[in-house]
Amino acid sequence: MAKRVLSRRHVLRGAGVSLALPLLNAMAPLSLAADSQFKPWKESTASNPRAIFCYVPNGVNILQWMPSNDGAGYELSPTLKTLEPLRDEFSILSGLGHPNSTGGHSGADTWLTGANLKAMPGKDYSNTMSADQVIAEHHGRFTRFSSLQFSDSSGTGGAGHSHTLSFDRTGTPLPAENSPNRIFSRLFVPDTADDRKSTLRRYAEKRSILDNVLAEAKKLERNIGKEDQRKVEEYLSSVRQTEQRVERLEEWIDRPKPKVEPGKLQLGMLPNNAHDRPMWLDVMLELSYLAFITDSTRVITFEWSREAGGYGGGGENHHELSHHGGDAGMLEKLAAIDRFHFSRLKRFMEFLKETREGQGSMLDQTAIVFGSGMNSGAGGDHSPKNLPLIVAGGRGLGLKHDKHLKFNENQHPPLANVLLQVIQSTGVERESFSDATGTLSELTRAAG
Amino acid sequence: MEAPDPIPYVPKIGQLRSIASKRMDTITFSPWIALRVLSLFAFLASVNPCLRADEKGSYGDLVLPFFERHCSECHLGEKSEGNFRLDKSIPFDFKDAAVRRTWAEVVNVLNSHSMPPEEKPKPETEKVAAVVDWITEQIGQAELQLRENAVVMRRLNRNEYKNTIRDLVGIDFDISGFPQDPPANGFDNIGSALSLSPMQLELYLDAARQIMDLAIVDGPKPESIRWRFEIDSGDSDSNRVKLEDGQKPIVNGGKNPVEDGFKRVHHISWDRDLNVRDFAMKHPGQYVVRIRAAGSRPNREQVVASAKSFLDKRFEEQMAKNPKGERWHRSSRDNDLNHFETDRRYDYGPVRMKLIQSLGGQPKPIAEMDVPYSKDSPHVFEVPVSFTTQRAGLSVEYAYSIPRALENFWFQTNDRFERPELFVDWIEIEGPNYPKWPPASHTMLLPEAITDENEAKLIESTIGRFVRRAFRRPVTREEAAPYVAIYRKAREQGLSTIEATKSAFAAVLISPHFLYLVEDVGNGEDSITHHQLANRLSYFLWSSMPDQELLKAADAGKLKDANQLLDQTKRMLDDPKSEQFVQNFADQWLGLRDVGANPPAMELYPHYDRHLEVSMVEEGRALFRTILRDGRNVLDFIDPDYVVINERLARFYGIEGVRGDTFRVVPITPASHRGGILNQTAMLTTTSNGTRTSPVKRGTWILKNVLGMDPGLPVANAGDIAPKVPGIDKATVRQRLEIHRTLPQCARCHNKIDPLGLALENYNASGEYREQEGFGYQGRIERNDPRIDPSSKLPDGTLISGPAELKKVLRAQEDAFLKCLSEKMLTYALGRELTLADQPVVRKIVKEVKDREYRLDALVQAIVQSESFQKQ
Repeated sequence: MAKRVLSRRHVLRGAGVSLALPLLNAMAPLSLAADSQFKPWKESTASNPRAIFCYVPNGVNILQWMPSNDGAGYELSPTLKTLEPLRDEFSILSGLGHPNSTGGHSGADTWLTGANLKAMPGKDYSNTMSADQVIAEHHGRFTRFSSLQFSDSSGTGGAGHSHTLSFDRTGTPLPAENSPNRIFSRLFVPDTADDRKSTLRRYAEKRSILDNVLAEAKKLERNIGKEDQRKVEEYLSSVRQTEQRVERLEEWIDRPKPKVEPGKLQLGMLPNNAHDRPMWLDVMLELSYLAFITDSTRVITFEWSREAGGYGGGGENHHELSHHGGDAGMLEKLAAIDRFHFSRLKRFMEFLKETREGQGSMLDQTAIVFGSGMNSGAGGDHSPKNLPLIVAGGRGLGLKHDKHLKFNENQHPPLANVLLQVIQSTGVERESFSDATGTLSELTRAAG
Repeated sequence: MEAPDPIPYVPKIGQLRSIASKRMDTITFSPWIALRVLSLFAFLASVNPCLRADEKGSYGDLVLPFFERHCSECHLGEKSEGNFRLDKSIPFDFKDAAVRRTWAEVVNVLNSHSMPPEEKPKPETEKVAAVVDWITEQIGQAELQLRENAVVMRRLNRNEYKNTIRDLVGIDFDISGFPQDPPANGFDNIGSALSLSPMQLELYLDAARQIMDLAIVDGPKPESIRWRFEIDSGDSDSNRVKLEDGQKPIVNGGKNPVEDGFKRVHHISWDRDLNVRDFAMKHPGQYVVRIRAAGSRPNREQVVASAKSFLDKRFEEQMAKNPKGERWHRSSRDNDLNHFETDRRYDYGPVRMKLIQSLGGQPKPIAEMDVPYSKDSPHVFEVPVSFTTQRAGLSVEYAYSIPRALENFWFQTNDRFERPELFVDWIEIEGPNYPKWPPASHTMLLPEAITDENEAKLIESTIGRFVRRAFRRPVTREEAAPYVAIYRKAREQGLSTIEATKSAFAAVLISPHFLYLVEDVGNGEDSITHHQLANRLSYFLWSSMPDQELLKAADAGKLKDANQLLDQTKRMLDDPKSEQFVQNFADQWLGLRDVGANPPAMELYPHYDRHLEVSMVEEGRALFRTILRDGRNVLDFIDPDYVVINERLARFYGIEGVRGDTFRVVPITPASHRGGILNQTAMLTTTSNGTRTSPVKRGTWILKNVLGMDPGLPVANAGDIAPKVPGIDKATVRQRLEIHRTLPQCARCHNKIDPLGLALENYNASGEYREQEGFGYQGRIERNDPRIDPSSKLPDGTLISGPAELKKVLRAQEDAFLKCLSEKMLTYALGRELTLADQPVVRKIVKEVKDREYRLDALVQAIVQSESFQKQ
């Protein structure tokens, strides 16, 4: 509702200079929403492994994305050039995909799960636990939020066009948040003092309610058929886990939320306003940075746009461009969107890199996975093969970079191997994940 | 989800047309095969321990010889076709679900005549029928033994939860924060798929508390406010007006001209939203927002006249500058004028207005409406809106979509050019509105105030009554006791009677007996109890709990009486709550929830807009509603002589004489190319991929939703059809698909699917009727663009000429359609997958519908009266 203003320059920066843009409504000089003035902190207080998974929809212009050669010292592709100053901090992987994925716009559903969505007979859709949740189950015990889900569309979305990348142990989608304002207040706005007493009372009430239904469900269990018993077991296990969560909330109640001033953060940016898009991406990544540095969470998934949606930096319709049919003009616009996305990623990586943590930087302790679940190829296909994928940061976690790991797109390790590698790098002892056949240990070997 | 296209199939057994025929052309008989057949006999005869002796007889006499004669050639031994091996992969333990699925597939394949392959000798029809009957019988017996067709304890889905809370507590609760429920068999109320995660349980727990806080009040009626904002009082954010409570919200009517006290807004205005914001309500609750507004709607003559005045002026200027170019100036004027005379987008509809509410910085569209009132007689629109105490704002937006193509004309931004315009006078907020105090929700839960004095006397009955209503059945005192205990405990901790009651009631709302439809098997009988029947009925027709009258009938043990049940069903269908059945069933059967997930690209399909999108969803429901409420023929879904549309759709379909946003029955002629679900733009857009049509998706849609056949799953990584074909300058979708289909592994299934979809090629990706496929700039049709060829050869060899004949052919397949619709509705009614054992029930239902003039309400009645609905 607030009016935003975009300078022409701002628009062009994202879109590449070749575009002739219509004069957009929001460029009217109402007030000036300039670039974010946010500055990273100097030092992170605690040193912890973290992971953030960033998803862009609709694939990329794969022609300008793929480097022409591979290995260490590979030549950066035109799109990767945007990340040139950070080339030591990331690796590009090509040829990978989830063998179970069927293509089209369901990529976000499976990007972190690798699931076969049609695997369950009798169900139109079922998913499995996502990689971030595997990490969260371990690291989440130490933070106020076991994980955070960000997206440009709030909630869970529908089966096959998910708004979230995260799926819990049962394969249930975890709703994502898209409002910078709400995220900020969840993370940093303190509960008032008289809330404390009533909050504690609420927790006590919850526990007594849960105790009660536990007893009731157990009684029910004796009375019903086999299939129903499975349902009751599912219910009971949910009740028990919720009880544990309430206990954890009680432990946290006396630990104040970290102090963060909203000052420079542009919390009013709207994700689905094409004109707010660059600033919205920035503030979401700034909040990710703040959530990490305050150790509010160690795991974040961020779906930059939902599949079959999204905008470029100048309000271009990302989805339409993905049906480019090989059209050179549309491919060029897609590449501009890819560079725009990388420019935002770069800014985020620089924040992490500029922040000291232990012997190194925050970036060293943070594994970043960035990519898409679709490949629009040379002709505008919607293929699940040879997905665009970058792994960055996490050198302190054992990841080694500055290389192009190239795999044969018809004969490659499952993408889940990369996810298992990242899971293990964050210190989670886990031997298997989804359809992984092992870890992608190439990521931990020195280039060359 | 967008499927790749075309779709080759996972080799499912039986869908495999054998290439072996070629082999057999040359090898007439081999001793090797004879040997294998012998071993098959031995194998099949020996491994069948679960058959009873008499069945072994019919099996040996009937099934085995049939397999030997018609199947063994290609489905035996290592070289078996399609992962289907008679000697290995088809065991006989019918109690194993996987085994039953395999056999069910054999039935499918035999029934659909896709096996044995065409080139092979055809088995006698009676023999096939006998084999199918035998298999069906085995599966049915096994399923009955396993009770797998019993309804599973099923969690309320989001809709059911919301509706149940509305009826139980009297609160309209926002469930948008709950995760989407996973669908199965096309519906989101299938017990086996409705899982529960810890996160969901936590959401239920929080919701329970919030609901009770909203429902039960404590204290005096909150004071209500009534604020009116004159929207023309300012045109920037610096305009703040002072309210009596001291707040100073911004009233910003934008830099729009003021006419007669109205702010005038049009599509190209800088400030298309007029807003009042930066205020907060002292009390959360239901408010009403009123907007006094009007609109203008120029007709075609006015548009052309205004365009002409601009074009004439330009012509004169050009003549003044360069008189020699008269011919060129004249033709450019005529060309441009022609655009305004012929493009049907200038047959404007009424202007539209959208109300958006923002709470805590989150904008949310509340309502969108036509404004068919002139400035002389403006209208006051009333919209119910709920407010929290967060920072709030309201904005009124101009919402008539004028396609971008039109904006290319320089003078369209000029104020003198005729276009729909919106006039807004003021915005008013009033509330919170409580017709009585305490509100209905409160008195429903606490008819008598609980005080320290009457507490002992009242508390058990108060809680007992709520538990009984929430569990939707009689409860024992023992069952209610734990909730009384929660109340007492809360009281001991010093909470007020109100707070303690909320605690106990919130606990009821996360009980499994509330969250699930529980049908315990304790009574040891096949049939369900009267109360279980009441629940099935109300969740089928209302997606909510039974009302008092239904529960009374159940209490009296009268519900199972056929006449009583008939009357109750009629009563429930007449109740407005049955709109939930219309929406939930029609939306999912017709795929209306997919509308907008992958909309047609704006550049290519400029006629498609938001108003059309909401209208097309409503069109599917409106047809269903009409057929249901008017007692019409279900075949009207396929080939009616009417449409049920509003003005927006009428403009899109080119049907004259429909004014206004309400849906009504409009008679049509064949020339309209409309009528029925196959010509509805919802079906046509959701089966397209945004930029082009997908005959494969359309064919699949028809197979699944009209003929009730599952074409199977596409193979992973199926390539898309190429956007361009080398050597063909303008390759139509049909040609591109045909090129793709030359792959034999694709052709096998696509010969079944594609012909149905190709017959709909006259409808483009946004559902518009067309006769040519456009290859011009932004998909426009140019003179020499290829003509659409909607002719098609169906798998049985029938040749059809296009969409009209497709409807005739499908209408003639009434048995398949009735079966399909009955199965879908029965699935929805039971909340479970159908099994073969339900087939006799389905046959009976179909027969009853036919006996009762094919009426849709007869179908509902037949389902309710069916054995599947009344048995566990």
